[in-house]
Amino acid sequence: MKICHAPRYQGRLAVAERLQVLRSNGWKPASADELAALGAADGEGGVAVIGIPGRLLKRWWELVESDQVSTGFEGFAREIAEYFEYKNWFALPANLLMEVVAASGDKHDNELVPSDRMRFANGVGRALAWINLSDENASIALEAERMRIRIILEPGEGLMVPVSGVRWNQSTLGNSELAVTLLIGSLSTD
Amino acid sequence: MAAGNRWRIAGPLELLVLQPTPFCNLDCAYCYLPDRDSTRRMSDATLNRVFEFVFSSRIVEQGFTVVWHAGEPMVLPVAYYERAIEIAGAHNSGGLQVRHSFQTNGVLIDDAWCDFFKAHQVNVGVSVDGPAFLHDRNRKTRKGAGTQHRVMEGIRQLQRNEVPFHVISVLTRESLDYADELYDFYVDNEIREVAFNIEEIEGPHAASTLGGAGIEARFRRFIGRFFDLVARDDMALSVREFDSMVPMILGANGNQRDFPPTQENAPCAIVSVDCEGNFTTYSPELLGLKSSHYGDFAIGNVNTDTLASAINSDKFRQMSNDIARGLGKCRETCEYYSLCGGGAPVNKYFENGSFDSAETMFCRLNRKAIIDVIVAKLQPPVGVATDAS
Repeated sequence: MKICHAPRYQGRLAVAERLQVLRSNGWKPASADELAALGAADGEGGVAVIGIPGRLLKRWWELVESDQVSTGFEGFAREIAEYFEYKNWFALPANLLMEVVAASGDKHDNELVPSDRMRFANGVGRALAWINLSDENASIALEAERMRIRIILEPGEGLMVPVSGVRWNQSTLGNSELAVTLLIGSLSTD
Repeated sequence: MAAGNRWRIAGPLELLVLQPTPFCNLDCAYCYLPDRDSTRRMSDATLNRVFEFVFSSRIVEQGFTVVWHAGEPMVLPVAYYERAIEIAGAHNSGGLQVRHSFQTNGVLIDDAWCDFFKAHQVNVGVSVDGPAFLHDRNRKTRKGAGTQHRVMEGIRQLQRNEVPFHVISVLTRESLDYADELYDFYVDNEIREVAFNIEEIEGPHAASTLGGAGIEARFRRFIGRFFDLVARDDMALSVREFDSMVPMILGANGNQRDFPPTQENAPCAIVSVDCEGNFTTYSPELLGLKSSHYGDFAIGNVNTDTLASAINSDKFRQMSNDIARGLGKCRETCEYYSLCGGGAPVNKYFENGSFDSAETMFCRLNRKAIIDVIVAKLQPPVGVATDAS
């Protein structure tokens, strides 16, 4: 599984600046050899960095600050879906679901979970993408090429994962206290 | 100026495009100007002659706009334009309204320029193609460096000095995937008025990135997405292509034969003069370009010719007849004619090899695709009753 930027996405950070590998002494930048093994040209990796426009990230925080998440989330989610559709990143499933999860700064990356059997609020399904809705950098830990890696995401950025699934979890960066993530997936109909 | 006045032999003049110098301090990948290394400039004598020529001609009836372009106008000092405006005023004995307009790459804007723009109420257009990752692909210095940060400094100067301006963004193949990024760029930078040009095939720029297969669908997708974003914010961002087309679409009566040709198809509605005084009409981009049919497109020189002698010349007649025949083809064959007015002669010539032709890439993208998208967006959803029903 390789890491790339999604086609039609311009991130500020290069993959090399995002990628860290878990070693015995903690998370460290990937070496040149590891980068060669894990990095891929834009659009050619299994896991792709994506991002939502700053406008939509701002919209989310306006909903939070005005205490209108419950009434405004549907419209927000529709705008996210329209944006994904325009970017043609993946076919939006009929049973598309989005939910926002907030996680404390506890260590989550000790235990990775499969993205194709995720527990959502309304049932079990497959995760298709995650978006960092926090106002600071966040990271997602993954298992790739027999390594535990993590990918740093700026506010509004996220990861798109292959249908075959990955093992993942949120990973705490520095002094981050709360990671807010938009989960995008499809609910299992089984 | 009523568009209906364009049914006449020549004029009235609406745009006077003046090339103060062919020189440009940038080297953009898609530029069509053939002579942008030359530092020649229009002399005071030629400036005098241009305005004498224009004001004494029969094509000036009401006011018109002087566009300083066809090279980077701001490489010449402010004093040059102070003098030019003074010269124009000296010949304007009838006190007609003459507006001045600059189309600039923006990198030289400073406080002195802003003072000049304000003092003379100059209409300022800045060329910026959006965020740096799009703009810097094509709009480069002569050493190949990106220019977006310098253009944005210029835009900040205009904003600090409260000089109204609009921007022109050239859409290339790469831009079409970034409607949201472009929209956010304009909104975040408090840019209120935008015009989209497409990367056209003109003169030395013989191939466009928009010419490949599948581009039309991508272009329509881009326009549709951009329209949605603008509409969602109650059209707070003014987009020339939407603002000009929506009222026409809503008012279209389908009576194609009564629709006048556009400025670019009407003889002497636009007159373009190069720094040596050579002049032409129809599409301003024709100025300075070479042609196997006509040699070049200049129909005279203000220093030696009169407008009457120019429009009686064999070259003008040939060009004019060819353009009229091309316009006729548009009128007879194109269902979009009533909303378009006949395309652009320069595109017809450089894409199809003749003015006597109809559809071009410019038509397919900048006219047909945009009209189709807007018409679709303006349709009420199925099942929603309209007032008329």
